Amino acid sequence: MKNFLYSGYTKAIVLVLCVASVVSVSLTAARGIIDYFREGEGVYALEDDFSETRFFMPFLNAPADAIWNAYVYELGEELPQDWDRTLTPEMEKAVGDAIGQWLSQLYCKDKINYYVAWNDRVFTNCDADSPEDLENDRFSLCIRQDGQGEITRIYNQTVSQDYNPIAALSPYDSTSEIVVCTSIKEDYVTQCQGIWERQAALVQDTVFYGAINAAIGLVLLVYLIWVWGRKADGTAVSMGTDRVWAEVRLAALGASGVGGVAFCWALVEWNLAGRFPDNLTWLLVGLTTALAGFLILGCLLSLVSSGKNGQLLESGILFRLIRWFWRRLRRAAGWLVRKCRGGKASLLGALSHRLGTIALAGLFCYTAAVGLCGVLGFRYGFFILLGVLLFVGAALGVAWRIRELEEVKKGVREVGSGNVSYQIPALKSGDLQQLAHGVNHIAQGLEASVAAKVKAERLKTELITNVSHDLKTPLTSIINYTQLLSQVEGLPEEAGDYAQIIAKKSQRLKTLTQDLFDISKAQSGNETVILERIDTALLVQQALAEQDREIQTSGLTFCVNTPKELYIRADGRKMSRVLGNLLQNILKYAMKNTRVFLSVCQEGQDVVLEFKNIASYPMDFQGEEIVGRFVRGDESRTAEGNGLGLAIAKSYTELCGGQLEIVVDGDLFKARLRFPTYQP
Amino acid sequence: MNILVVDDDKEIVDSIAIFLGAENYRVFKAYDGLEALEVLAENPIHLMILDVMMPRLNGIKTLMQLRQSRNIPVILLSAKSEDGDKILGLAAGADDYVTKPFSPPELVARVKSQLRRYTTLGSLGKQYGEIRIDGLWVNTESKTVQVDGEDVRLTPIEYKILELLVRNRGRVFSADEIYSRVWNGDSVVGDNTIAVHIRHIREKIEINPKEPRYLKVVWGIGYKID
Repeated sequence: MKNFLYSGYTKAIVLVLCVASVVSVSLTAARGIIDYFREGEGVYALEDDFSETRFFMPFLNAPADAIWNAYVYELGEELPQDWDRTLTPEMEKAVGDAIGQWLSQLYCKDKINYYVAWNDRVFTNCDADSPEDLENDRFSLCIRQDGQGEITRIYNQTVSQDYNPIAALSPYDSTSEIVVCTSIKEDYVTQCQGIWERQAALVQDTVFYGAINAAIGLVLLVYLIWVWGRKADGTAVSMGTDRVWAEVRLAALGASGVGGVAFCWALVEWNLAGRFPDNLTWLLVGLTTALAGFLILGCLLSLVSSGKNGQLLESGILFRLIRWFWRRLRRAAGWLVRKCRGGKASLLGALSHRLGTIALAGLFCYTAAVGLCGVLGFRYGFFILLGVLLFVGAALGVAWRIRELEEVKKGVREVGSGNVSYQIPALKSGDLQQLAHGVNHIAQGLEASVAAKVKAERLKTELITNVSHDLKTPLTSIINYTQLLSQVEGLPEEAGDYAQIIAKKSQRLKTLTQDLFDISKAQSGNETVILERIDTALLVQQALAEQDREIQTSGLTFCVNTPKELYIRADGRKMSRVLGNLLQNILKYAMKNTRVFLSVCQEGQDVVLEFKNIASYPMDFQGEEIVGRFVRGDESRTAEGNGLGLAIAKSYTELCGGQLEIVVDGDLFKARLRFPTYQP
Repeated sequence: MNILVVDDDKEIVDSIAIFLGAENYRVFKAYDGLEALEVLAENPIHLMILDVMMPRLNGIKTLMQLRQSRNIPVILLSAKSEDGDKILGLAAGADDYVTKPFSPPELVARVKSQLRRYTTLGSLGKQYGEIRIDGLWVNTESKTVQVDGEDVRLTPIEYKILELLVRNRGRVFSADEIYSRVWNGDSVVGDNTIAVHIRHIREKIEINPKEPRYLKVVWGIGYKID
């Protein structure tokens, strides 16, 4: 049974039946309306209620209206102010004729009997001899005015009717005697009653059948609402329109309804006006209703399905907005309550947190309040004062906060300029306090990392220093005692030779230790350079002068070309070491009796120093190799030298911002030093 | 003359003592700063050779304490060869700084030089026209030069260069400037005569020309006397 109720087919059939019932309701109503109006054709001015007396009143008043028209049209408005409202004989004749004419042209002549006596003249459309003849008809009205302006009215039905056109004649005439009597013709009354009875029956039928159809439709609708959105086992079935905004669906529903009704009404009117044939009207009304019915049902059921799936409220935009507002409000209220509970300090602290928000809220309230004032017409005074107070309070709060911002800025400046131990003092403003904490944290981190780096550097330097010290101390004793040994008298010659050898080797060790120390310092970044303007010509000359004796005795010919005015920016002492090492290499390894070329020249933006010599042994290394540490050109490693000379030269050159390049070309050994030209 | 040798390495102290003994100096030994001060308090010492890295009281501190009361020459001995160490030592009051390993004859020469300056020469009054820079005395009247009391023979050119630098102590002269002042002319392009002259002067007046005390090479810029 349940499956049957919930099955899709049942739902569909019921849906169609529901729409069908709506269609039949609308058709019944349309038919009813059309027939009703048709019955009433020729019967003018349908009144609100079907009271017969009210229906006939305009007819009964028609003669009096005619008299009023006659006066107005004849006398017009061009009357002097002080006119005593007495008609002249000419006026009297004119008005009298007019009355007669108007009465003869009454639109409802065939529906009423009237008897009008105006001063001496009498007008009537029936065979009544006196007004009293008409007083006894079923619907009649008699009004009299005597020469003194007294007015009496007689109705045959007890109806309160203030309509009294005769009284309105007073500006024109206060002396005429007027009698107006009207009554409805009997056969017209009978005719009207017939129409009414038929119309009443029509309405009854229409309402009856319409109600039955509507009731059936309602039952079907209830059933649909009940089963829609669910399967027999209770699981949800969504229509796919669940997430369409609820407001949109409601609007569609309303629009369909209104549109359908409006169109059907228009059809009815067109039919009544005769433009549409009946069958077409029924067809169109049916179609329109069916369409509107489906749409309305669709929207409604979609809303139902959403509701059953819990999606209804979710899909409503308005609902979502309201919910969002409500949540924010609740959160703010909760926060406020918590802060209040926390005591005054906590409240003030929290307020300062949210000073910005409060100021904004204040601005909003102020604007809203002013707007409200304008709308409601309140006096401005109080709200303006409130708004001004809010603003002043917020401005003061902001200024206070800015004062504290200065502290933070100062802190950032201090830390930025290197004073990493600076700490921003505690601030009162909560937000800024967080910022200050952050900055202090960073500063602490910086301080720690700087301290760590300094410590690491110090350890590195200490290591280098300690190692070299530990090497040099025993070496000192070796050298000293070797010297002493060589001075001892009475030693066999060999002993003296041996002592010499030890002395020589220990000197080599000394040089090696010092060189190692220097290269370690240079390559670990512990070496400082003082860069100055160096005259390259002078530098070369000084370097040559240092080794002058050795140069003189070397058998080599030095060809030196050092133009003046070629300056570079370098550390003079380091460069002297570089040139010294290069010269020592030349003196050690150059082939005897050859020429050595030293030159300085400008190449583009750079100054280049070039030392060229012929090697005394075949060089089977590359330029890049020989500058490596402990690399010696001489594979047997017997000559004086430890392989660090060029490495040190390269390191020192680079420390001064230059480049050292070794080029090996057959027997030609070329050392090129390149520096940027000195720029002041 | 009494010399106090202080170093925590016994062998070094002994070897220095032997060298100095050969020069007929009386040598006292100490192995740390406190001991050195004790020896100083009890004996007349004319010169101290002082190691820097020692336990208990290091060389610099010992020196500073010494300088509060005495002004004898002190030669610092250290394996630390950095400029900073030398400056520190000299600023603390040392008269000389020798790095290990050293050449024993050089050490002896320095000792002699210091002693001469301190004892005999200290009493000699300054003569007219004489410019004294520590142990370097230049007599502009007689055009003679003495280093630690001993005459030094310089060629006329060498003398002129030296006098120029000594008269303008501390100022750096480039080779061109020296040329123009001494020769009254422009220097020849590419000529390194000046550099060679300087080198010769150094060899004559300096104990260790490679580590000059007076005539310093300002590399790439010029020369000066400190």
